[in-house]
Amino acid sequence: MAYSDFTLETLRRDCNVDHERVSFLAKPFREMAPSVQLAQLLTDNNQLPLLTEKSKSEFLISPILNELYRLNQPRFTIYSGFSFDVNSLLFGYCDYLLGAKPKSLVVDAPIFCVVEAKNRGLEEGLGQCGAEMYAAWLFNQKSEKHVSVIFGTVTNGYDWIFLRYQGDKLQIDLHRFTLNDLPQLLGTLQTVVDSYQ
Amino acid sequence: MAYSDFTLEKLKKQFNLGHERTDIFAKPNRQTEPSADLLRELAVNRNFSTFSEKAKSEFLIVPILRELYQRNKGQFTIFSGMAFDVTDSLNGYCDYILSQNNQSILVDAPIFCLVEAKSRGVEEGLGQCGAEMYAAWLFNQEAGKPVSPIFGAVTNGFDWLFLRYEGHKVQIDMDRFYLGELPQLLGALQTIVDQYP
Repeated sequence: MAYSDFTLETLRRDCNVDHERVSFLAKPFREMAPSVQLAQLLTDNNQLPLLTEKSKSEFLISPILNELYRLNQPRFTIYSGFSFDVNSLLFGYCDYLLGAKPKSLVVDAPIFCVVEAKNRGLEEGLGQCGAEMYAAWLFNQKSEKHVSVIFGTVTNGYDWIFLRYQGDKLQIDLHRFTLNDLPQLLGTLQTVVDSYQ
Repeated sequence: MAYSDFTLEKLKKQFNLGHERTDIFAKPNRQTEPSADLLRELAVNRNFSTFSEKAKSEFLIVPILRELYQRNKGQFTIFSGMAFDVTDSLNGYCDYILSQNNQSILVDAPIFCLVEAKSRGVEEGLGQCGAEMYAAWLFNQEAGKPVSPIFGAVTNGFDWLFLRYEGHKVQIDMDRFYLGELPQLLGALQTIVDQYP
């Protein structure tokens, strides 16, 4: 089944991955100020008509991930739009995979975070993101680069929800960040990067 | 027929739309210096793997289009990944539609340039881009805002090949422009924008 066909129900039924809503992000939320360039870029980009998943990815999501990358260079890399076929049940394209092996050309273990872009409601992407996170966990296992916690986030460019896969369970954080909380959003993304050393 | 199904042969057969290779831009090539922000962004993005069309679009193509957008603020807008259904035989999604800025969030006339992203050879996109340009010409006519010529570009992020539609003919540039020769590439794009003050 392609990742995009997964719902939270099929993830439980077919992969035995259950989920729970819980606050796993420590409070108060960590904050990280955006660079002048990022703040300006997002202000300018917001002038554009952003009605498609493609435009939201290019003009709202990518700039944030790039900032994260730049601040941590060269700790990780971003695979954008790569196919990620892990087994006969878990396959398809992932919007963004964050991997800890910089400068690799093909998707390499370990993968520590999955970012799923949606054009509309984030709820639509929870099952898909969970399936990709579980697949990343299996992929890391197979590559003998075990990562115990895999993070995920579903975003439509404006809202961001964070997920965590750990010990056969998918956790969905109760908090929803918005683009207006950019320092908290960047801080949380930095926490995700820091989780993998 | 979807734009992506078009080849140069099909354009000829279906719309009697011929093509020719010619010099589209005056020689010597105009040079427009890149901003420090663009150079910095591309220097970071070259670290990423660009094996997918999505990655090429986000890391190599969008920074160029955004530079052009920022140089010409308020003059035009960029529609990314929008459906553009003009007739029964000309429909589908366009990677980038550049049209005069009128604060619309729907694709609106006059459209003056189409950019088609390809993951592999730019040749694969010539028929598709030509069909999109012809559709844009029809669309502008119908909206009572005729534009001639209409420009196009097919790019895999590294190579850029420009097209021009005028007098029911698609012209394909003799020369290619390259990401590695930014002043000339930006100069060509600026020339296109300048045609529509």
